[in-house]
Amino acid sequence: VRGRWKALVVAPGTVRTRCDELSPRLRRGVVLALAALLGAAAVGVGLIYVLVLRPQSELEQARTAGLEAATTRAHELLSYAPDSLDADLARARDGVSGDFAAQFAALQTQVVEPAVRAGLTTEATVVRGSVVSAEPDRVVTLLFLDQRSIRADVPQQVTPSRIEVTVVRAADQWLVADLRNL
Amino acid sequence: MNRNSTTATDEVDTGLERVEDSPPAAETDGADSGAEGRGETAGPDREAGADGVAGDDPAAEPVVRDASTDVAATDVSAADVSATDGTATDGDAAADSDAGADDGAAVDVADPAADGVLAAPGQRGAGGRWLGTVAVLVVLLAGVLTAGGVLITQARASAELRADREAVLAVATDVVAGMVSINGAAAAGNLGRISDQTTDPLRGQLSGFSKVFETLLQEGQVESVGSVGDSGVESLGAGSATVLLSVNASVTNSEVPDGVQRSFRMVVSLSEVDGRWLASAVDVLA
Repeated sequence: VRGRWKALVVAPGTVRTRCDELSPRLRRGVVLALAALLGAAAVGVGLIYVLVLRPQSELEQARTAGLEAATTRAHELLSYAPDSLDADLARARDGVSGDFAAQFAALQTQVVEPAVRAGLTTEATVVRGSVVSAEPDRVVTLLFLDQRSIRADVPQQVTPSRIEVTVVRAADQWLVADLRNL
Repeated sequence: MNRNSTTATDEVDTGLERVEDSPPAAETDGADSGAEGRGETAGPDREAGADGVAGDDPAAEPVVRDASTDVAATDVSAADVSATDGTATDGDAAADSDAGADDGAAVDVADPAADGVLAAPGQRGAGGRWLGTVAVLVVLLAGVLTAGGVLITQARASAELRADREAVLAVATDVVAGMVSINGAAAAGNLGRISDQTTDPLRGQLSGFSKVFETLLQEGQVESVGSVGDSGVESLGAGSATVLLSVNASVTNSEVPDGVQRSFRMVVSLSEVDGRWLASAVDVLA
């Protein structure tokens, strides 16, 4: 067998002829070995993708999307104006999820709505944002925000604050599951 | 009738069982067959080149396979004479011996070990098909392995990214914790420990102001006990990173002995130096 392989190498111009000289058993063995190797390699690559790379990729996507959603939602949940109060309240309610939704609805009813109807305008601007922890469907963020409050009888105030916003994936969007002032 | 040809024929007939199966075309015109074969034969030893007969005519191929005998190989020259003479008075035999002897010679010269390795009749082109199959499998295997290499590289990069995130968070937290929990007595030790995790410009600032800072803390009887709450990576790129930290501290001094609670929004910038993440700046965001 070694001599036949050597012949293949020594005279490449006659490879096809030389292949005819290999025994059917040897040819079949080579094909089966290559096919087995190909199958094993394909399975290995598939496992690497499914078990390692895809989760990592999903996690990275979650970090990016979660932070972006937290930044947007924080602004929506903490920004109200008398002229657009109903729309602002509805928009904020659409951005919350789970147990926090009930807590937030109570906060809107008891604190936000009366203050804004009395003439308060408040606007939150996220100035810096970071990811504290991330899972594919849940991201915890630390946001630095400046909250500007305007009332007719009070000079404008800008209050710096730090909030921790937790967002969870629900269907194709990220909703706020928790918001804490630090 | 050429004696050499006769000899070759006799010997080939003796050594090759299938010579008689050679096609009529080869049998009636041995010289032509030899000429065609010459054009197609790649090996330097195939002067008469009856390969042409074997390669062009399916029926002739078994002859080629069966010709892999030493008997045929030894009479290459004899068969050549017959083929090139073109006298073909005994054309059948000449052609037969030409085809059989030359192919046998080609196989034997290149690979004497091929004796006894016979392809079954009707397997014409089996080697070519096999070679094609092997080539396809090798190409597919190379593709899969290349894809695997790419995936592994990406997975490794992702793992390094996670490790870098953990490292920058640990360094930033440690540096800030050392800065917000400090007093006059421990200032030198704290700042020295922090300094090991910093690089310029922060490192230079700490070394330049540490003595003054220590004096101020001692004179004002300042003591700060702080802790880092949340911390998160804002950005992480090639060789640089930014970490946000929420810090709370209780600060006491000679004027406020009961202390006052302070909260800070801190931003730590880091640089990767010789494989280590070091804090290069600490800023308090107003």
